[in-house]
Amino acid sequence: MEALLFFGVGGLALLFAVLMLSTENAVHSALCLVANFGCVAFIFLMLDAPFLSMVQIAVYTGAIMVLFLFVIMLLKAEQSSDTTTRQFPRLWILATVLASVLLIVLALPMSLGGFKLPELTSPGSPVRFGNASSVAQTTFVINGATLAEPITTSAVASGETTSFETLPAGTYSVNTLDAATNRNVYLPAQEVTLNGIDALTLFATGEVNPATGELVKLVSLPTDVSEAGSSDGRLVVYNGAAPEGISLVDLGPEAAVTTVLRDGQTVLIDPIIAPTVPYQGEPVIITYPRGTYNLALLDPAFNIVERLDEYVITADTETDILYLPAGSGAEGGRIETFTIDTQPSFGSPKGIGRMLFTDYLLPVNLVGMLLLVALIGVIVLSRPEAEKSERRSNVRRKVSRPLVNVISTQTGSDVMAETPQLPTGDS
Amino acid sequence: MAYPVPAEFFVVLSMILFVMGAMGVVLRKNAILVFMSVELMLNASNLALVVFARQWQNMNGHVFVFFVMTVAAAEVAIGLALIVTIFRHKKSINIDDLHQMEG
Repeated sequence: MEALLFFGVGGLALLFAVLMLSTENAVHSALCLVANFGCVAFIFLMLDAPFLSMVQIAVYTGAIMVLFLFVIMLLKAEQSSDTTTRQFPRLWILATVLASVLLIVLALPMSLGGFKLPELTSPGSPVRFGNASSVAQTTFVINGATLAEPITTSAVASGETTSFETLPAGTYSVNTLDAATNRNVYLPAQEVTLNGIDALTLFATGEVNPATGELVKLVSLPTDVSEAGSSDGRLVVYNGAAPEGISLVDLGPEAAVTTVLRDGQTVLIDPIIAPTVPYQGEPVIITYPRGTYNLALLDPAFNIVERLDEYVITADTETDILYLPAGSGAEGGRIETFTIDTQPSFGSPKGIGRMLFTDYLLPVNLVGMLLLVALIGVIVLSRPEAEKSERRSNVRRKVSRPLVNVISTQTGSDVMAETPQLPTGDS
Repeated sequence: MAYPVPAEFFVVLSMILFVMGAMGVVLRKNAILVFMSVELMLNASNLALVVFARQWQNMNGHVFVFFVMTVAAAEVAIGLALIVTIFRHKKSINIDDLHQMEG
């Protein structure tokens, strides 16, 4: 289907280009070029560039080609017959030869590569580490067969994460160290398998057992930095402390659990954001519209286990919500949240807008100034010539006025002053 | 990742459009039509940029195309103003008549 579309629209674009070059009427040429630009805009849509296709239609066909048509009609160019030039009657032979040479030169690198572009290879899995434990600062040491030497991350404070590190696929062993004492806080080292494509976040959770010096677990959560939705945030909920399972529920403005008795069963009315999250199992990933909510974690009996009042979900973010056991032997649990910004989808206006305003801010301003200068230049260039008539009326005539008229009608040029003047080049 | 239509086809299409634009610049006698062929060449290079941006999943190609379109718009405005001014003096936009600078 896509191949059919490509050959159809591409062939149409080529046809319109050939028509543009061969037709004699300039207006027909301009309209063929408009159709060609429309076909190219459709091809941009096929190439995951929706913003550029709309800009192509709006700017190229809607502004530039309209300008061309205005000028063609202003100069009455459609009336001039555009046959072969006087000076080179056999120009088309030379043009065809040059065009084939150019085509061969352009196609030569591709044919040497076998007419195959290399594929984009994934450099590896992005991995980052977070500290959700009671240890004030932790460092992580990663060791694996693909690494020349073990990688040691910087010290991660409680509630913080490192930046992403790209590691090729393979099996790695991770050691968690206390940054203050440089002592291993979890033995043996944890094994992590990376598949080279998906992103991963590893959280150190739990508290240091004063007797044995051990943490509970190194939790790995999948991380997805692609866009969740236009105005949604992504939540990843992990249950590390409630053996019977918990659910994340939106309590609503009254910040209380609302249940009704229906057919003898208590049914929860408040919307459940994340259904039953298994204890120390796979996390539940959901997207939710942005806003401020009163969230709560409920156990299967609809009792509130932990509250998150006035919780803000921002668009274009992914938040990891970890429910972990409270430290020092206390009952219940605590919640740790980690937020990361997501990348906009490929080709979207959001992506281009972000790049234009951060990486390319200076070129954008320079191009704006260029457009301003072009505007001023066009106005200056298209000013009407007003000086000629004034110059002529200021010249004093040494010949009487009736004789001037007779002479000028016979010679076809006006009679100037007696002294000959150099040609000014504007006749 | 493998797409249904390989990227090489789009690059070949862009090359053919570019060569056609180059032929138009050489063959046409009307100055405005020469200018339109230059726009066709710019469009072909935009197409190549977008193809490679998708191949490498890099949005810098899209930003480049954005700037090329903007600069092309400025260039078209000035070029057409120049053509109108030349027409005022020479009463013709046939490029054979515009040989005032030759030796």
